[in-house]
Amino acid sequence: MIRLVTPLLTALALGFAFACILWPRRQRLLRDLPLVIFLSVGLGFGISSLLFFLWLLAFGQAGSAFAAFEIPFVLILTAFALLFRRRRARAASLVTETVQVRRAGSKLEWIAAVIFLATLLAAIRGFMWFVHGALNGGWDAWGIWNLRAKFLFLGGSHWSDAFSAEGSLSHTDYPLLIPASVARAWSYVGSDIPQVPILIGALFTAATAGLLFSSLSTLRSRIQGLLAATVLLASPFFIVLGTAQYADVPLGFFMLSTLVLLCLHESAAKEGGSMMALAGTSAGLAAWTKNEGVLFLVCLLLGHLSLAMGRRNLRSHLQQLPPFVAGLAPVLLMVAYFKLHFAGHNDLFSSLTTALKMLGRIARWRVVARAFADQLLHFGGWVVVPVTPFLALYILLVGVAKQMGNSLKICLRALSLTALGYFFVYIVAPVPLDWLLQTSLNRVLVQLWPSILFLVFVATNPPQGELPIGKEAGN
Amino acid sequence: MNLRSSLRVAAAVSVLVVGLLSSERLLQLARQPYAIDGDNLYLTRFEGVKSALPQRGVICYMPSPGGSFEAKKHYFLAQYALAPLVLRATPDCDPVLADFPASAAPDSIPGRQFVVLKDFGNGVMLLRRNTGQ
Repeated sequence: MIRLVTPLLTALALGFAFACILWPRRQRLLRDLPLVIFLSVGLGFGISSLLFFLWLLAFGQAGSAFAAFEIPFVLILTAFALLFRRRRARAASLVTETVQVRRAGSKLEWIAAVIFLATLLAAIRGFMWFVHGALNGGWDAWGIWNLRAKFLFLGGSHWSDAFSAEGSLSHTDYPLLIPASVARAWSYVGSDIPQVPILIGALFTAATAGLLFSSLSTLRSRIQGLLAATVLLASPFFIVLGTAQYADVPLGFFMLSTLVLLCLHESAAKEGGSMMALAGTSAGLAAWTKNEGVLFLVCLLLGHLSLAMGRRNLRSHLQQLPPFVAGLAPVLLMVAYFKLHFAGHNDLFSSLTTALKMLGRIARWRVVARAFADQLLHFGGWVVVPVTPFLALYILLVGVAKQMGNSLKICLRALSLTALGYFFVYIVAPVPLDWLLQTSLNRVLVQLWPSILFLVFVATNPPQGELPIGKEAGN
Repeated sequence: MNLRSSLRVAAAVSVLVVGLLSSERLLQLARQPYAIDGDNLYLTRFEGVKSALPQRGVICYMPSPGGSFEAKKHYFLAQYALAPLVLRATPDCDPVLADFPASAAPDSIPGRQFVVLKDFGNGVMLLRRNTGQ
């Protein structure tokens, strides 16, 4: 049990130390603790997976020696982060704290809290039931993610056989955040037990819901956090996919955390670019999780540039990019190294000629458009009533908040472009379209789902009345 | 409370109720007995053969996974069970791992082409190509 928990706690501590160092000094860490902890889950697994991959590159094989290196490293880093934080807090103690508007919990907030709790319990019960039915996860878990983890952990000096062209190994171009995280934890345990990927899946599922709740509570109001988290946890397919040990829920986490950090950066703009650096790291980790993460990263940069282009203060707008790039660059370098030295070919894009040929087939456009439209109502596996019409009605009735900051506009553009990018990938992919849509569309939409919910609730007024975006409700 | 704010609250409550209904259905599903983990059972079939195989490298596998959805699934499950060995999906090297679960009879293996090295039961066999030597 201790052996199983240690790698998970070590990853969490690593993420926490990293977030502590970069968290703006005037933001009170204790108040933001839930938000920082949920962010730490993704950051921790992401950074530790990069460390593990570096270890494989440097020493040729995984083993107990990695744990012997990582545990003291994380302990020292955590101690340094806390000391660093304390010193900076002392230096900033003269700064006046943001005035908080305290609101008593309304009746609606209580109702929302009770329903959220019921949804959470149902989600936990459902998660356990699905896990019992498929201990080794779904097809992609044993066919791609955990299979690659087995090569990294058990392969010794032949770990790169994971990308061998000898067999029929599929999707060898997929990046390694999940396989390296699983293999890293197995190297702590000393055995390839199925509990490791199950727990990693559970942590990412819980952290996504937690991050959605805590970020909206910080940026908007607690009730909006509760509403968003309730919808997410009540989405059956989100829970099913969390148990499947796929990379879609982790990718959804990194998309969400990037958008959250961009919005937090704007609400704490005077604090320098540390939130932007964290956002850059998070976007890089999305690219280290799945190929769709690279598309998301490109769309994020396009969203940023498109907003900057139409403005007079282009220079000041672009000044926000260097800290983002500083956080992104180390992760992106690792992704590029992996792609150049290990990754196989991408089966969704063969050549420009084929892509152009596919683009010219009108029937494909019709099929993909119909499938996307169908998902508007049936997405998420909602069995009783689909939630999307109710969300649309909610937006209509509570209204969009008057003040919409630049970050929110960038987030909206980035997410819309990513969805559009997915649409075009389906059009140009040289594989049977019906099969591709059937096996992946609901999954790729789950990647966007937490971010969509975040944007819906951060951009609309709370049900009790208007509240400017970025103002702290003091909940 | 005016009409507008009542409508806003109603909108929030409706979203919560839809969430609750979905959760209730999830809970109903979770009250059913656990489903049999067929994939896990399939993986355990390969426990015996592991000790007879090299720890790393490439071995061959039959039947061809190109035939059907089930055959493809069985190939990937076998690959997962035996990783870090790489399973080549054609029987053109030695040894050949024959994976014929209950539905497909082992006698479908062409007798003249392969020699059975060991039968591990449950449709798992280790073969060698019959080169006439």
